[in-house]
Amino acid sequence: METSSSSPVKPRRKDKDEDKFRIGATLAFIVVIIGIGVPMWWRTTTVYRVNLPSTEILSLSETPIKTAVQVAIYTQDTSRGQLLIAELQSAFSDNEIWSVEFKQLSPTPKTQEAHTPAALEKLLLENHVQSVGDFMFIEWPKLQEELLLTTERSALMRSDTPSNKIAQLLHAKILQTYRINQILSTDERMGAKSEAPQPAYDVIVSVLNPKPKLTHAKWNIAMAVKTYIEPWLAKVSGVSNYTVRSQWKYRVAIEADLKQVRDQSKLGRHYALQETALPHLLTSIAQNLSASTTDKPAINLVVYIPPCHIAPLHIYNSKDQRLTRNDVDAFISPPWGGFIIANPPEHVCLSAMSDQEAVPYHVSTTDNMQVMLDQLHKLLDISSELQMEGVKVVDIEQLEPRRWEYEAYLRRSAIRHISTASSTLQSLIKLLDQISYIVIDDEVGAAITNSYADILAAKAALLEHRLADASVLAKRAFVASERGFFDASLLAQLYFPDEQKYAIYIPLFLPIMVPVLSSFNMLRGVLQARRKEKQS
Amino acid sequence: MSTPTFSSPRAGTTAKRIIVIYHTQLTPRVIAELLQQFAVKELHIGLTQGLWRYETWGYPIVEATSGAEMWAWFSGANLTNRDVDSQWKALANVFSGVLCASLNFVDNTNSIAPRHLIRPQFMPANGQRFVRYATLPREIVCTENLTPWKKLLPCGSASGFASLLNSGHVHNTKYHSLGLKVRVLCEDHDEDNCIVELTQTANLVYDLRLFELSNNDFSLRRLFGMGLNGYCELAESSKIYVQRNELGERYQLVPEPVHEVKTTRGGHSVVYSVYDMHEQFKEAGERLFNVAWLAPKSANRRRNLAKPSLPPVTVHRYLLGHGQERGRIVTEVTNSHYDALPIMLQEVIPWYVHAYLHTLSIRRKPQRINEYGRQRLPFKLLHYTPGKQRELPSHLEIGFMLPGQTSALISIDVDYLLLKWLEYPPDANHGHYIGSAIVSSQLPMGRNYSALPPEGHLFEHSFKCDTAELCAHLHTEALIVSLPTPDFSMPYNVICLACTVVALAFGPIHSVATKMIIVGRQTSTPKNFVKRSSNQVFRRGKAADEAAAEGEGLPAAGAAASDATGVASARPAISPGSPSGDQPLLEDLDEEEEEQD
Repeated sequence: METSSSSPVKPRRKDKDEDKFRIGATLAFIVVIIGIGVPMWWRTTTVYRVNLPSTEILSLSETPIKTAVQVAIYTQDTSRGQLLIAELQSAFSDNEIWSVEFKQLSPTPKTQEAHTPAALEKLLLENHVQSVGDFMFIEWPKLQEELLLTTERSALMRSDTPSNKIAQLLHAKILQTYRINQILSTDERMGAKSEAPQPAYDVIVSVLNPKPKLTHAKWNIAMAVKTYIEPWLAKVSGVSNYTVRSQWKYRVAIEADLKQVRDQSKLGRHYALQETALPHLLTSIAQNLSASTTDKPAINLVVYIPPCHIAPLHIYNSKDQRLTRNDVDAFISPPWGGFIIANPPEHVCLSAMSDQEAVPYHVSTTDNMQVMLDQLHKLLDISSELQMEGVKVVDIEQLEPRRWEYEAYLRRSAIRHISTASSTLQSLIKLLDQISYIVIDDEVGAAITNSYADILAAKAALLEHRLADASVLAKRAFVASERGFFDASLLAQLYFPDEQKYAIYIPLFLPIMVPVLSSFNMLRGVLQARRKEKQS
Repeated sequence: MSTPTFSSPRAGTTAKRIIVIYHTQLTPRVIAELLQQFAVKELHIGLTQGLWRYETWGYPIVEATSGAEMWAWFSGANLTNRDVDSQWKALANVFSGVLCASLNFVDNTNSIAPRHLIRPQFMPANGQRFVRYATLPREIVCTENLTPWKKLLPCGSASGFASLLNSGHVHNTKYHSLGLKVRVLCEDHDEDNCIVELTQTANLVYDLRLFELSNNDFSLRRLFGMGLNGYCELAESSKIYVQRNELGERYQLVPEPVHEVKTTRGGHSVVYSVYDMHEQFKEAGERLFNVAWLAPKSANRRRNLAKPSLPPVTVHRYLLGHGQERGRIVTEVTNSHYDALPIMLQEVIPWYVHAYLHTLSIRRKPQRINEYGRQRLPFKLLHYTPGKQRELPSHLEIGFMLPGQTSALISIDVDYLLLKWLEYPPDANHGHYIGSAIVSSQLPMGRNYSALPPEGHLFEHSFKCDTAELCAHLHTEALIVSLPTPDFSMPYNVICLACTVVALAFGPIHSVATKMIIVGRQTSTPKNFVKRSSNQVFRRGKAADEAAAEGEGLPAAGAAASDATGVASARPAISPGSPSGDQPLLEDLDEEEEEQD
């Protein structure tokens, strides 16, 4: 048996000379295939994605949305004012949402002489400029209630109103802390999560007259809408734009179980619509409210004229109590819209039931439009319904909503837009991490980046006490984030997942990679041999 | 075969200012929104299943081609061609949703701007006008189109004639066509004072043979599955017309019609019996109205029907040539009238079929002769827009005078293009459609003609039409061409095959470049019995060779054959180039050593 040192296999001299070329060739193959080929293949077959500020977006929720508000307090006695401010400041000192700045307005001889609250407010506003979203408490000793909210950015208070009452009012009405908490909470169970306001809405007023032959209803709905709804919507279109349309729909039957109830009217009966049947009722009419050419979300306001054989129609609850209030039978279902039952007058149905010629009649514009306006208030979520003990709110005299209400709505929408946009972007980034074949093209990338920048700017604006700017920026951020998230180009590669990419190129890579990778092993052997040789 | 043509045109005429179009009463909201969003002044949509047989059925009240057809007129201030293109696409998309049809496939690649044949009906002569026309011959019209179409009616399908249109019966017909027409008529001096007219039409042709009746009687109930339940309360007029002369003479109507209308149009008289639904349903109470057509008992049931008189102009179209490379589109127009008639023809040739204008020719022959000779007809008018691949279809309009009792054969040679693999439809071997051509002519007489005049919307408006304008639009058959269709697994195959070839080539190249073949010689007897015995056999046989190889003292590759084991021959080996030479250069040698141990 021979030892390895005297192996019979001895390389020829020529082979030895060529060894360095072989090593060179091996290295060249490795460099070309692993160093250049594989990265190039990876790059050319990879899904196109624009660089996104992913980590920044994911850390968006770390900085909470904080809003700055300035509250001015005017008291006739400076020391009381100081005390109030000190107490309120401590109440708001460690608040996560609000950074409230309290400002004392000191009395001047002029203000001491003011005879009416309005005059006093005017005087105060001459020296103290209020920006959007600010508020002011004015002391007025002769007040009956503890606090009286005006339609502007101010409230009157009595001399003995305690600071906790003021703080309570600020939280409940002006700042609406509980609703902001609802918006910001990530807990689904907190409920009442309505959607963020869209930039544009179609408000569609539909009059349903299922039996036009029997109930000959006449109504200039176009005029009614123009006088009541449109001017009001024009006043509140700071966040969303509204286009009002109206239509008549005939032969649209409602699908609900109606129960006849005897009563003392001339018809001798009315019909009961169960409260539990209302959702089904909406489902049955929603499909008949006509298609639209726009993709704007719609707010439906339906006026339903019951045909005489089921009129008058009233809503009943599960305890068989009639829910009609002030002769109004109506309900809303946010965000779908509102529904009003406009029962035809008794004499119309009396003649219809006795098979006489149908009596034409006019639907009451004022009654229905007031209900409709109220429904719109609730649907758009502008008014504050909360009742507080000892607090009175001045009734609205003109069409537009109260200033402080509207500004609270602006603030709320801005915060909601910011939080919705941030969570949209964050879920998009998370999706991108999980699903590798989502394409982000330049346009979507720009939308996401812009949205991110706008979110930051809006947050800064909120903190810097610029509510109007914040509202605009937040809306822009929201629109851009929605566009980015729902862009169809995201799914361009949906049917070409990574698995297919590997499957197609396996016939190339498997035979090529095996020798190339195994040559690593050989190189290692060579290196070891050299090392050994040096040692010896 | 009896072909009662049923049509329920309706007009929701809301004469209002355009501003008030935000508020609708009879018109569906979507139509109002469409007029706000787009500068559309006139819109026609037809959804049709089946082919209208002009020879036996005459001319329809509302023309339509099989599949989907759509055309619209646009007019507005500062409207450019590009705006119109985008509006046209958006409009098609809207109606794709409204009617659940695949109108969303309408775009610039299959739309043309007709120059002569399609005329506006309402639009003022002054001002800019744009028109777009497209057909989708592949569209299959079914229930999903009928239901949304009925929803556009103010009464829906709840009452009136629309309640008769039950999909089960409608789709058992030989031909059914749904039509939608929107027109806006504005005052010349006041652009804002407009009338919006929406007309919806349904056109059905039944084949009585499909009913498998014992006699030739039929009734509304038989045709539609139920009687008529009344009329739409919002309708001003709701009438059924039954033609009583020609083929209609044979039938006796039950109940007896109260009214009869005799009309003369273009020298041709027609008698209609009229049932007014407002009268029939005057009394309260629910019932169904039915009309029965009773055929005379004595008549020979099957084949003694008088052959209907041939309409003056008939058209046909077919494809000549064979193979998947070249073809010829041929349209045949026959004038069976004794006098010459003006003929206009509009062809839309899709971009995947390449037409050659120089091959366009009109040959003629007398009607009674079968073959076309060399006689040609001159063009009076020729408009041609060449197509562009993947962008524009070819658009051809020609006008000529067709002498009486003569047929004309209009032919144009075409090439079929090879499409990109993504441009093939899911069922690629089904073939590609070429939409039907429209042939238009001024008819000399009113026989077989019942189309509505442009200014009318009700069927009765066609009675009072005393003008000489009997303009008929005829649609030819649509063609189907089979373009060269590749094997669709080809891209994958090509990638796989190319990869395999590269990989196969790579292996040897890599080996040659990086490996050296060194033959290790077997110096001891292998343990394996088989190897040992074979060793002995070979050794004995090739002792001489072995001696020669040993004499050289070098393990050459050529000697490998003589070496009994030859284990190392295929294994990679490389020399570190060390001077000592006693290194174990080959892994195989190591293995050999292990074996020897």
